[in-house]
Amino acid sequence: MAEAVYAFQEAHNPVYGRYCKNQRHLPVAAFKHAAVTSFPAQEAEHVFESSGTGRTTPSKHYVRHLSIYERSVGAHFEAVFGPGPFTLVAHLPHYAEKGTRSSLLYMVDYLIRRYGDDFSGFFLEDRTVLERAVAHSRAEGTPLLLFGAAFGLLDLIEEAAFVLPETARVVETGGMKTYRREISRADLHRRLAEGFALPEAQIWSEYGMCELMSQAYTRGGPVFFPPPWMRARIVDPEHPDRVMPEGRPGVLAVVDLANCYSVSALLTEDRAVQRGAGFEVLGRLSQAELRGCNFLLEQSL
Amino acid sequence: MTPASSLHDLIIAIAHVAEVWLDPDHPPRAEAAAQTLAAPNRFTEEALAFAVNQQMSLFTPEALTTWVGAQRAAASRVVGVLNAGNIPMVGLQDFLAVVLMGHRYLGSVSSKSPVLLPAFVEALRREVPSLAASFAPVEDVWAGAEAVIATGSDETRAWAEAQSAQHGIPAERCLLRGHRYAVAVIDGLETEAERDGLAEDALLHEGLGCRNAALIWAPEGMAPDAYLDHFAAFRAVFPPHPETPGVLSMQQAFLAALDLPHAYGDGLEFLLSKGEAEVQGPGHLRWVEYATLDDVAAWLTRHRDELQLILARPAVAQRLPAALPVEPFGEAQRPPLDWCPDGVDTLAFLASL
Repeated sequence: MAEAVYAFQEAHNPVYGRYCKNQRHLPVAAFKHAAVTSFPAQEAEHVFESSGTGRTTPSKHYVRHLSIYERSVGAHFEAVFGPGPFTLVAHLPHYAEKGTRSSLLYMVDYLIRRYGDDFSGFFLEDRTVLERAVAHSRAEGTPLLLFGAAFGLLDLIEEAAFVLPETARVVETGGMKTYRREISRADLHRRLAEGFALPEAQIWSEYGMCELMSQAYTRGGPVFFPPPWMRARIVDPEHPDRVMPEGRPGVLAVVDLANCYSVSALLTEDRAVQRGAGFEVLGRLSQAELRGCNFLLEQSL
Repeated sequence: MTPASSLHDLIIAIAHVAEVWLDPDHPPRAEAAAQTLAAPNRFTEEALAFAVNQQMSLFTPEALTTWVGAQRAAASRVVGVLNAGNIPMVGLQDFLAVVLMGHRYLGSVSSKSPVLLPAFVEALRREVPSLAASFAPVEDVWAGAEAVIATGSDETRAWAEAQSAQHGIPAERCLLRGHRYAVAVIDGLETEAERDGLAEDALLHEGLGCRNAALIWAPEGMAPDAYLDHFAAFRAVFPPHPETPGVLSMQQAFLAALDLPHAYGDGLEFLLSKGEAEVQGPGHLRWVEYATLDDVAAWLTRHRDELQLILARPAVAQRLPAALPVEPFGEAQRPPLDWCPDGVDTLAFLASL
């Protein structure tokens, strides 16, 4: 199946057609520089944009059919969390200004519409939505899912601890490095568990980006598991054709077949290690890190 | 603490070993070099010889005595040094600083360069049998050290801080350096020799050193051709590691696929791309255009913490902020003995322990 998708993209995606003569995985930075599509970009039904930082050019992912995105998002969510309904609330403060150009916001909005009950929804400063959702979940026994950007969630519990129902799960969607603070995923999960009065096993993570139509989820530990149509490999950053042995850090390379109208084989900018059928994300890999006396890249992890 | 007489003897011994090691055919050096070239690194025979010769030429009795000056540690401690393996002999300055301050050296070596530094230390031990220096695995260094010198990314520095806390090493006894790079600023008036120097600054050691130029700021609209000629000429003397063209091929394919402006040597022995001021992989230089030197100065000031040094000809250097560490072209791979990585004086740190 993957070979057929590669062949289609090689034939119809000019950027990938030129790139794949020598290499398989296209660096995700390509989405900053060109419309990486296997169809005329003007026919895109939607465009997802990365959040960017103001100083860097945002990535743009031209989506031919949103239905493919929704099917990918929904099928994996259902496989991981079940068919619902859920009381699904989301706190994504810094993404709101992007609206549905943010793939994360679009995804969570879709999940709320598809799997959420009447007490589901987004909230920002006003905690009423969350408080009502918690009360409803407690009263009716509906499983509560709280999706949130890492620092949004931390801000929430910094103001005051917020006791969630004991069956609730928190799904943090990344964003651990902001202009204000930096924190490891392990520390983040520990603090979220304390702040929401939940066991750490109920603090999950979502891995996604605007360049990918599919996501991976942790299930109470540090390891992300992708859906069956997405394959993750850890490769040598300088030789992406060389797969790193399990447990050795490298760069995450993915093949996402849901990306059939853009590029499926992508080289991310995330440092990661293979853990069985999943992968653990260690942080961002900057090109600067490949230079200089960075001995610890080799020995510490 | 090193008594004055033994310090003098140590300096004389270091200078003697260095003098002997200046000969590439000196058997211990030749053997260590051969083993080092066989390790999983990107060293070349020419670059390794350059690095060893450059360092050995610094270690005269006078230079070592001047470097140490009046600094002495009040107490002798076990100093753990987690050595990088990105370029040949990269940890030698730290080793010398530790033993000259009278501390006991406990180093780890990278699998990329496991032989060269220990071979030099063994040569010195033959002259100074009481030399307090040994090598051990990283975990044993943490377990045995009372102070630590290490280098890494933000993330791995956090790991090192956690390790030091776990092993009871106070923060003030940890010298944790960041990963940095160099930047060149040109105005088109560089001489032939300065262009040769820039080629060395950028391409020696395959761009893997923290003093290698990664970005070249150039005036808007200026063609890079004259500089590319010097890069090609440098590569004729210092051929690339056999892996370098393969590493650069992915990046060149990326640039070509996106139709981004770039240039490269015939055999992909170097790669230069025009674009935003974003550091690329080792061996891949980024050509960044500027409208005015004030713009460059502002960028350099904003990114000061990422930069090991800035390379520019004197007339350009004068127009950059005085607080920036600017050096002439051709000096990046020839750091002086008293060079302070990340702007921190290693000897002063060791003397304070």
